[in-house]
Amino acid sequence: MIPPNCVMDSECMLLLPRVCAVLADPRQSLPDDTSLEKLLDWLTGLTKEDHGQALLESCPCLLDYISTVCLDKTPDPSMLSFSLKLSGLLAASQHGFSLLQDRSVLGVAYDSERWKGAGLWEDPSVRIGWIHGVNNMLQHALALHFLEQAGLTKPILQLQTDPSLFVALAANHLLAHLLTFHQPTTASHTTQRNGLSRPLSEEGELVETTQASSVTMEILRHLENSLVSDNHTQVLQGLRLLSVTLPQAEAALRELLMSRVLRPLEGLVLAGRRDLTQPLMDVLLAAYRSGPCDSRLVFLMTSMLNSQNSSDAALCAAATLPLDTCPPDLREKVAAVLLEPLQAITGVSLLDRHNDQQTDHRRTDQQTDQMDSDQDKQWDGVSSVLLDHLNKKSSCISLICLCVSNTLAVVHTESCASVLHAVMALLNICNGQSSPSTAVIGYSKAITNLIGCSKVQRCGLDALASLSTCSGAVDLVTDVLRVLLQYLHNPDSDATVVQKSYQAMLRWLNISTEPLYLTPLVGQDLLPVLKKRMCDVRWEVRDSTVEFLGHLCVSGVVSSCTITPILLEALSDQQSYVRASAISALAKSLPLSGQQGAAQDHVEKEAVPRVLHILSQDSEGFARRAVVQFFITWLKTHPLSSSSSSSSAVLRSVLSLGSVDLDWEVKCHTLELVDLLMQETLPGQLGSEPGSAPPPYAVSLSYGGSLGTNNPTHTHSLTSSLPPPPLTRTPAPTEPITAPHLGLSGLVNLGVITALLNGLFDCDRPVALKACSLLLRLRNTVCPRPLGQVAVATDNTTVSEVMFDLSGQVWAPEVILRLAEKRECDWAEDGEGVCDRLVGNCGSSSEACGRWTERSGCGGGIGVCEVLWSLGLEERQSVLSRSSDHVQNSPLSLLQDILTATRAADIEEVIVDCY
Amino acid sequence: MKLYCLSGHPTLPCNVLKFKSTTIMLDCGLDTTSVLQFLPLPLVHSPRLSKLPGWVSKDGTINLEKELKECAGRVFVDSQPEFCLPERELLDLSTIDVILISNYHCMMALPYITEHTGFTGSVYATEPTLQIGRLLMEELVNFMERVPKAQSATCWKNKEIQRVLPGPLKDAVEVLTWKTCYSIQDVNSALSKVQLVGYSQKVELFGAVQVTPLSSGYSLGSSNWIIQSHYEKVSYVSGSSLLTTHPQPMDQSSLKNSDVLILTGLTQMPTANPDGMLGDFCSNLAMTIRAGGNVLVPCYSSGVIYDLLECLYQFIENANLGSTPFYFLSPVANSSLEFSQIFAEWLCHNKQSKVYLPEPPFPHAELIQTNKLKHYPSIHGDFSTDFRQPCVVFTGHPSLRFGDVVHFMELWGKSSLNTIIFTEPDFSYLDALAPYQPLSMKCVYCPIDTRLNFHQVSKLLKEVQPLHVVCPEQYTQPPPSQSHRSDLMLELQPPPMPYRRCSVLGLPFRRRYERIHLLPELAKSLVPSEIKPGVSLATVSAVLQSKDNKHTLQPVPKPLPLPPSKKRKRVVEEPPEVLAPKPLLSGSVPLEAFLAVLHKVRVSLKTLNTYLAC
Repeated sequence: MIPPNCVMDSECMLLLPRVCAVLADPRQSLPDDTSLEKLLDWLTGLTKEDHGQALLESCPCLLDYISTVCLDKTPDPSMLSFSLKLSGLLAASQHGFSLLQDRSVLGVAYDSERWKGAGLWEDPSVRIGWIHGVNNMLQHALALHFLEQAGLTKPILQLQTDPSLFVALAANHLLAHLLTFHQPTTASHTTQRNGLSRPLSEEGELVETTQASSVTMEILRHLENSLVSDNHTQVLQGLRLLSVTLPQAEAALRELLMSRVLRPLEGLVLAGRRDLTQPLMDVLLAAYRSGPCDSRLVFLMTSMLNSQNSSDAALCAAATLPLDTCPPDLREKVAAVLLEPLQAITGVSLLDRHNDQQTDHRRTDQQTDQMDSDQDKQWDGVSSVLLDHLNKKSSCISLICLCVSNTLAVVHTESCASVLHAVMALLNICNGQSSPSTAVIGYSKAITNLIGCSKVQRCGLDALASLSTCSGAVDLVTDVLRVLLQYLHNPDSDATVVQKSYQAMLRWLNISTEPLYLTPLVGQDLLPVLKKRMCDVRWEVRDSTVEFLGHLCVSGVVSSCTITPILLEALSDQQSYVRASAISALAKSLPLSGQQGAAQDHVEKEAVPRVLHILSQDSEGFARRAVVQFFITWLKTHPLSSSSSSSSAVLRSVLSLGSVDLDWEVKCHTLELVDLLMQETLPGQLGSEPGSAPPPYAVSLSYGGSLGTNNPTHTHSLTSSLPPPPLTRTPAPTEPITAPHLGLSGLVNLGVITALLNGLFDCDRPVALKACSLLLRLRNTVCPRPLGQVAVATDNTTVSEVMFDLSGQVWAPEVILRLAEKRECDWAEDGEGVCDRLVGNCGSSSEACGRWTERSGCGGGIGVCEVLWSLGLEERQSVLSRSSDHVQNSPLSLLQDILTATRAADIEEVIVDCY
Repeated sequence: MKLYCLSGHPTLPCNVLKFKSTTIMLDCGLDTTSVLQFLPLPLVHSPRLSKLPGWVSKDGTINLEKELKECAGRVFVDSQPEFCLPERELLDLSTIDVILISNYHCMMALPYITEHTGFTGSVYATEPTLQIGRLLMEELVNFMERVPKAQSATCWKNKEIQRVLPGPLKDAVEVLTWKTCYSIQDVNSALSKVQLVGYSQKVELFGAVQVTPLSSGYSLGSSNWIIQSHYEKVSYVSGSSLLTTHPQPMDQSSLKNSDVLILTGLTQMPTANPDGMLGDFCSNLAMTIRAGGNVLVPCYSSGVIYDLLECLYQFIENANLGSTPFYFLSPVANSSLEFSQIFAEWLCHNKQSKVYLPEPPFPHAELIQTNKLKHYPSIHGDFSTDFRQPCVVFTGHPSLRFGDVVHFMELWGKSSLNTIIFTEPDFSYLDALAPYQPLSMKCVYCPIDTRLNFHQVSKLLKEVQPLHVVCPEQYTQPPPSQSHRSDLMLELQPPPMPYRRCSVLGLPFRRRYERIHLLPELAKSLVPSEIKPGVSLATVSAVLQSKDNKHTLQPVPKPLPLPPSKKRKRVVEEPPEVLAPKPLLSGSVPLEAFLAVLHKVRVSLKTLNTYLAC
């Protein structure tokens, strides 16, 4: 994909005429036509701003190219298609249109008869190029006029039923574009959409007030004929055109459309054709959404809901549900359609069959009896159809899934409890647990279809989870939890079902206002089954259990002391996903540790070495990634300032291990941790948004000691016994900003600088990029400009004296080289000599010139700031931020490729490797 | 054709089929659930069990202190456990010609049938069935003889007394047929009558019928049987499985086109999916071991245990249970584990191919090699020195009434850390545990029954399309505890014929044809005349000879030549001239042609009428 490039550079501008010439030459054939697509993408990007006006002025060769191809009698089909698209693109501006008209290109290019005569029209690529060209061009009145004059509407209408699906779809979109491009206006309805409150009137009245173009009227006539056609494709395309057009139609056009199509639509709806259910419903919904509510439209929608096929009716009902303004009658019908199968299967009463009777008091008794009997007949009829439907396994499952998935949307506040009972009953049926009293007579076969069906189970559990938001749900918490527990107990529950059960259970546990009364249920029933599931043979189950345990910790329903031992055990699971989830779950329990006292701290002490061990030893990336995330959470909840010295030793280990990990994501997460450490160590100076308060744990750290001598050793050992640097300075609460040198030396001591440089020289681009931006931030905030430049930091001397040790690092020679180059440059500016002997010869201080040995001999460390300034971070960042294939993807490369390909094709046949 | 049903137990069938003058017994399963009424037989003296109070009726009129003991709120018979035998009065067992065995679980009553009944026929079974069946019988005898009980209780079986006993003794059925275990001599004698057969081998029975065993996929050497004559085919399906376990897969196609299919041995646990149960078994096991407890698995010494060990082989590594010892205790443990490895030809394809690697087909060999699985004949001897806890013990008997398992129940029952996991579906776990109550150890029920479930059997029957299906009555209605589960019964068209214990069913098809052979010389003499294209008729005069249920038409013997007269030399007789056969009348009379001929020969219709009237 060519990146949108609005300005053409000079190199491209030089090459383009040659490319055009090559492309226009019929003797040259382009072996790979994807380059034409790329070329068009690039040119489209260039024309975005001004519809190609500037492009045409700067590159007249494009016009020549188009004329040559279009005036040729037998061009290559793919080249013709490209030229048609391009001509449309260029004709999108009136200027370009006129230029093309002046050369009489458009009339020839868009003469479909001409291409038919040449036998090119049979190629779908030509037809689709033609459609795209017209569509691109149709941005101004001139183009519309041209279309009318050239009689292009007819071929477009023919293309609507093209055998190629892509062509037919594009033609449909073009027709919709034509209809909505120049919308008719009426005297009474100028621009507003909502003024149309009167019922739709007949065509005669509207034609008088509407100024619809002849093209619009032609399309409308065609549309009307399509809808009453015997040809299925034509009807389908007509409906699709309607559903595409209606959402964009303004009031007048909508009115015009509806006046024409409502009657044919009625015919289609009443014919009850199953193959048209979905497109018809799309049209009705589009019509409903696009304008004011109309009784005839509502009637049609209600008729769709009365479909004899329960699945179709349910599909229609589900589609109607999201309508914001649904008339109450329609909504009731929707609810009835969706709830009826559920009622039939579960035996829980969900529908009030006599609703109408109660609301209409004016009926006489006789009328009521008559209506009742009619309704009963209809009910029985529907029920037997429904029964047939439910007796077939596949239709039963899809119907019940559809109904259950939409329960939340249909449920009324007052019927919430019954719907909940129904969903629970359904879940019991699926589990093979339903008691005989609830099974409805005649539906035993249907029930057999559902037993053990995990698809329905999943839908049911999702529905149960979403119903937790209903009012009155609180009263049913225990019942629901019992159902969910059964699912967790059932050894046959599919792994995905177990997962859904957990999700639902979390939702229900969280709505409970008094978690205390759930304690026995959780302790006696839930925890044992969770422990069992932790030993499940399927890792997916163990994984979801671990995740659930993590969420339980957060919800506070169970004390994390009970859960943490289970999670600690899961750290040695065989499956890396489970280990990773266990680490994440432990991280979730961390924020609670402060609240849960010494016991929890003890657990944490157990957890930290275990996860560190995973970081150093685990062969799977997932687990190691989770470990770094764990420490990110850990750092957020345990700011360095408040924790013991062992914490910084732990962090040092994490950074040293994480920054040299094999997995690039681990390294990226490690850099996130670095970011966090930087923010904490240099509060108020780094990373915080302008105006925002420093983080709550914004207190300074200082591991200074005697700088430059107490170099922290970045050991890979997990049990580092190095004494932590003494805390030399306690910040006052009123002093949020740490002195930069102290902060920087703190970072050095934690191994942050080493980790960042590990990242910077990493072979993975995202890692290097992230490290580079962090280093830039650090440098710009903390480090003073090097000598000879304007100093920004106040405490120049102390900051620039913060040293770090680079011995043993693979990137040390590179850093030294850069440093030497920088110095060479600086000294040259200072008029001093060059100290070239130093490069790459860090160990032999005797050979080093005095200044080098004095300031940055390897034994004593190198100044952090000096290194940061020497690395050329800005350049690195700009190189790194470009994708690795930016050269190959550039427009210049594309143009060169085209030229090379055609040249190569001239010389000898080259098989292009398109892998 | 008749079917005599001697057992009401759907998975331990014993039926007799009378077909074409042969009497064939199909399986002889032994219902061992009766032992649940008896007190356990402890291997080591148990103070608790020896001090149980005897039972006296409330009014004191019936005193059965010696026979019945009260234990944990229930009454148990204190004697050598007894088994419920197949019905022996319905039919004279000495008339049985052959017994066909389908798997080793369904032959445990064999000594009761073949010994001391006058049985003189043969028994057909596959080699693994015989060998593993022998192991199971020897184990049973060993369990009983190891802990002999002097007394045998008979008074409580008196109908008048049994009526007043507390449940479930009161409701025990057929108590008079209950018998103590057979002896090892009976076992040897019974098994000596077994003739080995291989899958798809055709065995002729008296020339009347042919029986063929087919792989049933349930256990090593398990088979279904085809019993067929030239024109009739009866299939006997017993204990089959479509799951991928260790045995050879089930042969379904040979069951097609049966006139009658006798269906027994479906899963006893239709709601427990074996995969789910296996998963549950593993998780409970791991959970207990991690908590420092022991796991007791009461099981048979052959069958599902091979799959359990294979599953555990994979699981223990994953669940970090590598250091936990697994013990398998049975008098026949060693033979069982080793036999399973040598029956390669009876195993599923996967395992068969391992033999050529060379690798033992079952991974338990590796468990034994690495000392993770150890097997012992009993708790005495080496086991007591090697025993280390926490551990997992597999041992019998699953009824918890005899065998080494009784000892572990006494040993581990008091600690809630331990778990007993039931995997065999034959016994109600609550009844099995009754004499050990109150029990602290956790109890988990994971019955693993790989036999066909109702869904699978419906599919199978749709495929093989038998004309009639005969099955135990239990399969024609949902289980009593789950009367809403209409999916847990057989729904067929025409409905299956149900049977129960002591039923005698007339099977609903009639024999209409019998195959008769023509001797070549007779066939040569026939002169068929074609009466319509493809159909020829010929008259035949011959002698029908029936021997060994085979029928043959032979030429009529020529009359014996008269003994030559001493006085006159007899003229040599000319061979009789073979005459051309006369045209035969058959089919309908072409009326018009017939009338025309009559008219030609001047027989008018009137004359004919007069003639016919006369």
